[in-house]
Amino acid sequence: MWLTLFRKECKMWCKSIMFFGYLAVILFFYLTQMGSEDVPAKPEPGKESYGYHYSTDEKVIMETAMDNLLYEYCYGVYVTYPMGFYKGVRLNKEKTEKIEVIIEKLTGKTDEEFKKIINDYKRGVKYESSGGASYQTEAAPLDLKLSKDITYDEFLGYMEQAAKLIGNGSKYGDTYLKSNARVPLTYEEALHEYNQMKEKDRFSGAYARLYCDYFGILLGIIPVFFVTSRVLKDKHSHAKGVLYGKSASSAVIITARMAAICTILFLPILLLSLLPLSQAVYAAGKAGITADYLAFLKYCTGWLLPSIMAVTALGYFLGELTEGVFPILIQVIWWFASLLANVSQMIGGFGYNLIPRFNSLGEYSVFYKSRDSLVWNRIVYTVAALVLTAALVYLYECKRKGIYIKNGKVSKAHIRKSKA
Amino acid sequence: MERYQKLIFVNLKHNLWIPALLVFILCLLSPVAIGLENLNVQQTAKVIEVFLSLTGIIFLMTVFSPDIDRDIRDIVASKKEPMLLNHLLRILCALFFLSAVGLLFLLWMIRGGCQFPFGKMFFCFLANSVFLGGLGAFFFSLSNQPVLGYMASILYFLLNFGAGKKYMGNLFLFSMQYGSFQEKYYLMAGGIAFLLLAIIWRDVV
Repeated sequence: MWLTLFRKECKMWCKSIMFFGYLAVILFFYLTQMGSEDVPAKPEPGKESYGYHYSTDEKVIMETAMDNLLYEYCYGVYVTYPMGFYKGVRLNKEKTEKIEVIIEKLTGKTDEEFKKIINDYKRGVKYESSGGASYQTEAAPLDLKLSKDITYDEFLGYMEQAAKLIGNGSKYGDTYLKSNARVPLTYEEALHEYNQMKEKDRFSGAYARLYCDYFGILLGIIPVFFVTSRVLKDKHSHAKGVLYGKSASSAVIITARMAAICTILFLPILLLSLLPLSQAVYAAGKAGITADYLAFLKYCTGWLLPSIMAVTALGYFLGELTEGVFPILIQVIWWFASLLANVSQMIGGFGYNLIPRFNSLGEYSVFYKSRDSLVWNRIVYTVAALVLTAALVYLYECKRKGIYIKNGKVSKAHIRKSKA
Repeated sequence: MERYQKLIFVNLKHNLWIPALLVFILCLLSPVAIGLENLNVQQTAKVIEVFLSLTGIIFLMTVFSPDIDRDIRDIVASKKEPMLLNHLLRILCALFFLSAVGLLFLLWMIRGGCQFPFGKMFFCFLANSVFLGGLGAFFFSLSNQPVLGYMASILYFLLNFGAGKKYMGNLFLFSMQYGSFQEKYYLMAGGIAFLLLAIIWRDVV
């Protein structure tokens, strides 16, 4: 029964215009995002630049954050990106005084010394006006440096206080603090990166991560269109009456439909991954090693399938509950928030975001450090999908029995049944 | 004239007030996540192009939603007023609401000290939202499936995020953030064309 229904659903979807639209979108997305990815080459010594990375050196992180805090304090505007959009925060007098205390502690200056240095600096700043706008032309150097007595843990504590005062998305919160310390790669570091990609990732792992990063964005929204379409098709074709009367159980109907949607969304992604896999095989061949042919299968299943399952389950559940386009609205808001929330940290730092990002070809050590957090993230979404599926089966069963109807009232059929 | 007023009133009552309320709430809550004070032209354009333009999908997708059901469509078609007129009036209502949202939001931003050319920014908002909404309405009209309309608009929006000006050409949605305004004329023309094609397919063909 289940297999027959599953096959029927798959067949129906494969002939639908939505499925063809999906195929066109993923192909276009692949070509525009990964189609022109260069094959990684072994770095040669003596080059001008080897790219950049986020420094893990505590001293660099502390100095960068200190400079940012001083600059923002002097100009009275603290830049935040709570949802990927710029938001300039101006603190009130009380909060500004608290920031002053933090800076004094970080620099080891007394209140008088600190105020004198700041006033000298502000007097040295010169402005020029042009076209009605005023801009800074020169500034005296700010004679404030991070105290040598401050340990990294103490520093993190002060930054946490500053982040709380300024608000979500500031440069001093967990998300941004380390990503501000962007420094150039040296030859040795670039060579180490390359060797890790070759030995640990065998190239295909690095390509698979980048592939999952891009397609995670698409698959954080697309399933909701398929499930909402499924629910609305039933509604507009008045098929519910027929379906409810069938001998198939609610669990069979729901799981077969969900499995069909997950399958027709996941299989094209797997098939398309043959293209970047061929790039990885070529890169590995050039480096004299064999690529891991199963890397894409492993990464896609662990990384992308939970996203498909979670979005499908939530969309289907809300769809059955509301029988309208409401799930699309909810999913668009969730997807948009997830996408913008990690604009500042597109490499690692997965947290519990629906769309885990790793927008880099390589950087194995960064991935390795945050791998556990990705695993937990994906487990949470898989479990959530299973729980929602169970809730959906229950909801569907209630609707079939007539217990639940759209306006939430208990139907007459159910009252009659219970009275009997 | 009275008949038109009645059609507009019925459309507002049964079709447009929930989207209008939704947009109102979204705009009202936006300062929680988006800074609306002291922004320059590029930062204002980002708010308008990335966030506010999406209201076009919400409003313009309502044009065909009352007559998804063929039985209802047959009843409406049997009335004295042609279907074409119904759809045109619904589009005009949606555009009116869209313009009101754009005007009020931009005035709010000006009050917050944002600096930008008002007329250009308003046109930028209209062009983007009419294009996204028109694209959705066109696919809705073709398939009689609202989901396909939403999918087309949202995926187009998403592709612009990733592909950029290089691939999207003159139909790039986020050009004003990079200082280019020319694309807005193409987007506006494209949006109007999509709306017209949607009506022609639904009512004439």
